[in-house]
Amino acid sequence: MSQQVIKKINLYSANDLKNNCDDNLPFILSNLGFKQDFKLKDIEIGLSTALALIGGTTYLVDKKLSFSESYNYTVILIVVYFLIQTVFFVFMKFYQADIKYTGINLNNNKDTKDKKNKKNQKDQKDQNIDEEINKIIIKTTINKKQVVPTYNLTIELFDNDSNVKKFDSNLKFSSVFNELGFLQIEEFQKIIKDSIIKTSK
Amino acid sequence: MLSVNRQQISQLLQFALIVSSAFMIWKTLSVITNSESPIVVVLSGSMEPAFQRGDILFLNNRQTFVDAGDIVVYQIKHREIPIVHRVMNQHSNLQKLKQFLLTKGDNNPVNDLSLYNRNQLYLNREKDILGVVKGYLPKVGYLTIFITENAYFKYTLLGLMAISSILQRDE
Repeated sequence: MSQQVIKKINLYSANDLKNNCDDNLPFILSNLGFKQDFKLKDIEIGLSTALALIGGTTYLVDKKLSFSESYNYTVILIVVYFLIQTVFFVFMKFYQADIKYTGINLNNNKDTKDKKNKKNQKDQKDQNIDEEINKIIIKTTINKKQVVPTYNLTIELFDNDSNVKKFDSNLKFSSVFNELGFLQIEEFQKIIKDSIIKTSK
Repeated sequence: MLSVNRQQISQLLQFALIVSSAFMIWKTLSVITNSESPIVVVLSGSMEPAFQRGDILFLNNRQTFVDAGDIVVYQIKHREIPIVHRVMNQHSNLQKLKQFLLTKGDNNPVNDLSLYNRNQLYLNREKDILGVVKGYLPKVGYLTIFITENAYFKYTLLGLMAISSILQRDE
């Protein structure tokens, strides 16, 4: 469902490097057996649509009615606009924040009775993503204060009982981009997979 | 496919948000000052040396009466462009809260009777006045004059804004 975003990136433009990595997360995670959950993005789109609609309504009221006729409607619209704007700001700043991917594990095994058996098999399955993972959240940031910018990944894994496991890692962009400026998707996928496996341990 | 669409929708919405926030801030200012147009640009030299072409004026329209000697912005019915002139005479009725004003440009030799509508001898404070000048910024409004007098420049500027907000992705 998700597509790979192939694009030539300027290797010195840290933001572009990060955006390209972020854009490819859905593709990689769908390869790893996750289904993207758009709840946060949909809330964001819903709130901004509401804001744009209120702006448009105010414009219409302003065009159709005279200043004194439209005054009360305008006051109401302004109050509602700034209330939603506040909610939107808080949502983007504290909830959405750095979350770039949320996904559900399609291979999740909800049958908790099997847990013990599975744990015995775990050693053999070491290289695969744990079936007990239910939900994954990936946050990414960029650290530009260093000599070379690094890509910081925070992976949060939720199991069926909503217990969280968290793992921070960072990588240099040179390890996933080639000299021509193309993202090496296999390398990147391997790093993400290893990070998820490390997190789940 | 779906996620790419969401990304594009949210970038388009970002442009809509820039436009609607700017408009809502303008309307908020308009409601706070009770003025249809709380910021105006001086277009003529009729108030020199107090104001020159290109000055930006900040208005307030909350007070019930305007004083003689205040500089007001008024708009005559059915005419597009508001005028900034000083109040020469004022007649007020405190019971009915009514006030009539006669205005004159500092740089004009005569009062504004010729600028008003036919048979109109005074301005009605409630209906004609957009606000009283409370502050100004010299020369900054030249950009607005330039934009309004050059249609191509206006559309180029709008187009560039739209394109940059859609294409640009900052962190």
